[in-house]
Amino acid sequence: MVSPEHFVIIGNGAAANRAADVLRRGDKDARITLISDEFFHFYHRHRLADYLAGTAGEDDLLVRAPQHYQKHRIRLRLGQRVTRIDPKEKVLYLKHMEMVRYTRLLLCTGGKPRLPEIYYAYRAHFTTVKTLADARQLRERLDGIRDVVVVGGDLVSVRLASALVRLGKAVTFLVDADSFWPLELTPERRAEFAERLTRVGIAVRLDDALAHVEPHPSGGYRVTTRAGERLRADMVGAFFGLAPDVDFLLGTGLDIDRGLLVNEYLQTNLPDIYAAGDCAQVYNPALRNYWVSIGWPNAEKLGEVAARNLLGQVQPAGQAPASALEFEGIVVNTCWWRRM
Amino acid sequence: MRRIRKKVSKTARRTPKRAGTASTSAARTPPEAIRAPKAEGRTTAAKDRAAGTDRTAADAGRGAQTAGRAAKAAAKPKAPPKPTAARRPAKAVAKKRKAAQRARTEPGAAPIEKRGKAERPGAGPKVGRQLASPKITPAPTSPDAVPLESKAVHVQPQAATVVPPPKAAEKTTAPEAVPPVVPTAAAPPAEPVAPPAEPPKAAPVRTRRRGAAVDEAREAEALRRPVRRRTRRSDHPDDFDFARLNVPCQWACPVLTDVPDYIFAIAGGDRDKSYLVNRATNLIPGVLGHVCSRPCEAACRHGDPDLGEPVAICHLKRVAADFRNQDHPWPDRLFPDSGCTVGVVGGGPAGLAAAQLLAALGHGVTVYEAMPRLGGMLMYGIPVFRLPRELVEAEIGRLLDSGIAVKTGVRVGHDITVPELLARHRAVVLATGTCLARGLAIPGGDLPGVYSGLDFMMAVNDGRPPAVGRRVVTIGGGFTAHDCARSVLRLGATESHLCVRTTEEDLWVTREEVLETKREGVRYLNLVSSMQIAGADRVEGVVFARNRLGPVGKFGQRTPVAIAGSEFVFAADTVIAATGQYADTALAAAALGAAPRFDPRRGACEVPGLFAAGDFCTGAATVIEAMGHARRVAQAVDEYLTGARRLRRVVRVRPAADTPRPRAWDFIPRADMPMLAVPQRLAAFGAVVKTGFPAPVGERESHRCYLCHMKYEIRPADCIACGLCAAVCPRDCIGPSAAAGPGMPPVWTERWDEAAAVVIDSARCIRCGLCLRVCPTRCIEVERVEIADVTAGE
Repeated sequence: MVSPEHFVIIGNGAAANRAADVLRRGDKDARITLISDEFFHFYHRHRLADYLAGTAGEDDLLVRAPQHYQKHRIRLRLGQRVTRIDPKEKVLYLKHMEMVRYTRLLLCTGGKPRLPEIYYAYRAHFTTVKTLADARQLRERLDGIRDVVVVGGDLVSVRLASALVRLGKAVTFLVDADSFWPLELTPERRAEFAERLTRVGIAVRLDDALAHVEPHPSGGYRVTTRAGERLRADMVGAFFGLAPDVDFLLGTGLDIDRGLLVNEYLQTNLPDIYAAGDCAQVYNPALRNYWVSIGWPNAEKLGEVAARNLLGQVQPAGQAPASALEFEGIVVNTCWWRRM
Repeated sequence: MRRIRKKVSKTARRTPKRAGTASTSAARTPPEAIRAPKAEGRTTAAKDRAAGTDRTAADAGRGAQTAGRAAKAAAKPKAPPKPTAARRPAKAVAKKRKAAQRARTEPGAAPIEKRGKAERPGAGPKVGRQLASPKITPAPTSPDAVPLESKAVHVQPQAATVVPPPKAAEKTTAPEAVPPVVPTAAAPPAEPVAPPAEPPKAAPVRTRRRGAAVDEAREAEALRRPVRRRTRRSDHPDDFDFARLNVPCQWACPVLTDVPDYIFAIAGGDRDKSYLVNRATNLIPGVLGHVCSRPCEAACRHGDPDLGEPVAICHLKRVAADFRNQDHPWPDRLFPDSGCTVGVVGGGPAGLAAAQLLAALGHGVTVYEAMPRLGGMLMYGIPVFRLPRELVEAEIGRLLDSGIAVKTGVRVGHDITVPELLARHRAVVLATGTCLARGLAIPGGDLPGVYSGLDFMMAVNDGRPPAVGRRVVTIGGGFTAHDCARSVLRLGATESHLCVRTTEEDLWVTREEVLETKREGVRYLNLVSSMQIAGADRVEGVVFARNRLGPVGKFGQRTPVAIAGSEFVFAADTVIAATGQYADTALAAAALGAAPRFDPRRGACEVPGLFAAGDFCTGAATVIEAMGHARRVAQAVDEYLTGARRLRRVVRVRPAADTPRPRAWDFIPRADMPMLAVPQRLAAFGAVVKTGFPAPVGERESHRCYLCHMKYEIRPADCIACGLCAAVCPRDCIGPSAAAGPGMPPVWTERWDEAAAVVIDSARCIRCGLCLRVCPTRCIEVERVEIADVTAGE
């Protein structure tokens, strides 16, 4: 007998794919659909810097062969954006005006580049690299780029700056201690961080931050730091980590603060809708606070827990690790620093 | 079929009231007119055959074409159009135009309604020729200023913002409605206005629709074609529904500011006119340009999905105030002296708004204010870094010129009682706002170091700021809470935390306010409820409980639900509780024995002659909401005093020409408000954060407005259903409808042969005008819709 279940997962990252695998193992007959607004198959985001540097091709980024989905009867809908959810009718609306019905829904929408409020006015001048599409665009522009200023600081920025130096670009890194993400930049970490960057040939400005960016009359940008230093740049990269990508879910009735508010079983306030990965803001009773998980292993873990709960089990998301830090009022659990 | 289903479902998703409104172009057309194409075509042809007459080409052209004819017409795009009676040859139109312009320049120009159709302003060829021009002809400035202002409550400016009409023509449009205007130095008496420049006769032919050549004479004739409809004023609910759906910015404004009109004036470089359009309804445009809560921007169509961000309407209001050329006096009263006097208690936004309208209606008004200066919360509640005080004083000072007497330092309830006021005046309006702060009703709420938000801000604005320590916790999520959280950073605090019971999505304040608050370093602590103030002799912290979001409350916001066992202590040196304010109803109750119950809509109560306006009646609201309510109450007071309703709200529909907006303006990104750098803000308490748009930036931003008050409507009788308009429409808002009629939404279909009419979904239309420019039969009419309060006789 064919299972009546249709599990729909929005997202195609670590949490979504792990959840799809667990769902398939738990229910051999259910329909499973992954919907992603990206046009690419599941890929390693942390290797985008290698792709930019030319040391890895697009195929090298793939986590698994596309045939995997065919083999496990997981339907992939790539390049399709969900614009609205009707939880009452259990229907998703896609941007190309198609409706998709579901019986249970898992939201793994991940994150989007975060921009601190103090830099919001310069958002049009910043370059961010979050997806393969962003990396493709930047790769096409690389020939015209000589000087790069990187502001903020996160794992992507470090890898990207290193890759750009390998390509012969002059990179200046303004390490913003106030906005470093997702870690508190203690003096020890800061020294270690600066030493690593300097070693690969990056000009580091540790006690300085961005003050102003404006287009340069002769092309590129003119960057002014708080210390008054003026830098010319062909590209200003802004890397302040990720913020949950949940804007399109506003108005659906889902509880949203900075991410999707879920209980310890990753269940949202609406029936049959769960959330996992970077987009979930999980309440932890032991911590008496909400917390957000960042990073690949955490996303996989949450995806697995969410899938089990979707299959009818009752499994909590687990305790927040002791190394978690508080950031903007919520606890952030990250494993990125350890992976670096 | 999915696409169709989607469209239908989108329409059906609207609220019943909305769905049933005249949201389409066909909605305002009688059903017989909509069904005219087939019926009329058959009956006229049959009659002709029966009579044995040969119909003229004019008749044939005016008659409705069927879809089959449309196909034939489309198949022969190069065929020159046959001359018709309705479409006069270009020469004749040009002659009439010249005659019309001569008539306009003469002092005794005939009223516009009595002229020929081709002579009307707005029907001239200049408008059509302006279509491709990126520059808008500036609207007239000072000659129009006083009439515009004097018509603040009853006559809106003439439709000629697209093509400025001569003064004489404007006056004759509604002569009985215009109050006597006394010429002043700032607004000299009307002078003959130079007629619009005559367009060159040999204007270049624009290439249209897929490169097909267009006959020049036909083009010119079509552009000169007179608009058939006349100006009309309506109070029909369907018309109000149309305005609600199609001019969302004006409808969202509590005082019904004519937003598209004043933005268009800025686009034309006429910032004085823009200021006056604003002042006609919102009275203090400069102040509101700083602190308005901007309900208009939330409703702006430019902010719809896929259309970008809303127009910076509020910032443009400030542009008009900052860069106007002169200080305009208030116009004379609308009515002669009534002999009645009204006492208004409270000199805040609501009190002043009520006083201004009552004075304009001919009543003697005295404002009683307890504080030494007028302005209420504008003067004592809002911090100076958000609103410079000299601006408040200047605009209120000018407002008083409209004939308002003021007594400051008089505390009603102490110095004089409400019954005494009622004995002194025919009516009394209580507009003292919400001047009492709700305390923190939790254990420890009275410890030293705990302040109410209102008391804190009043002390700060009075130059007596309390010591705040290093770490300050502000509880609340409204404007006052944000003001407090930002102020303490200027008073020496190093950490300012704003504690909100739900999430940022449910805050009352604007997104820009949240952004600036964060930018200054205030940290939000969401989803917490204060349970107790910790400390022995003084505040040491706050005990919070984590919340989850509960059901939707009566104001559409989520209610917080505390999670059991989630309490935690948050250290603090100072706690500011900005958790609400309420009105001092004892003011009236002490004198009258019992607290009167005020009608929230009209402000009246069981005591004859006693009214309440603004926050005092409705509870804490924004400045613009208080003013809107006060104006409604003022009308109720006038009705009480005179026994007649002397102002009525109407929808005015005027013929108009196409908007001169090039499509490229739709893609201009929203301009960000220039702000003072954060260190400079925090260094000086009085440093105003928003530095304002420079004039060129304001002008560019004004180009973004879609001018939603323009209404594009297909005349079914002339439509040949060629589909060109639908083909060029960038918003997919034109299409064949299987059924259409007044008050009903279109039923979209993809089969043109089944179409009852081709309709424009006005609620979706962005007024780009592309349809109008490609229409081969010129069957799309443009009208301008505005909501206005007019005198009853108009």
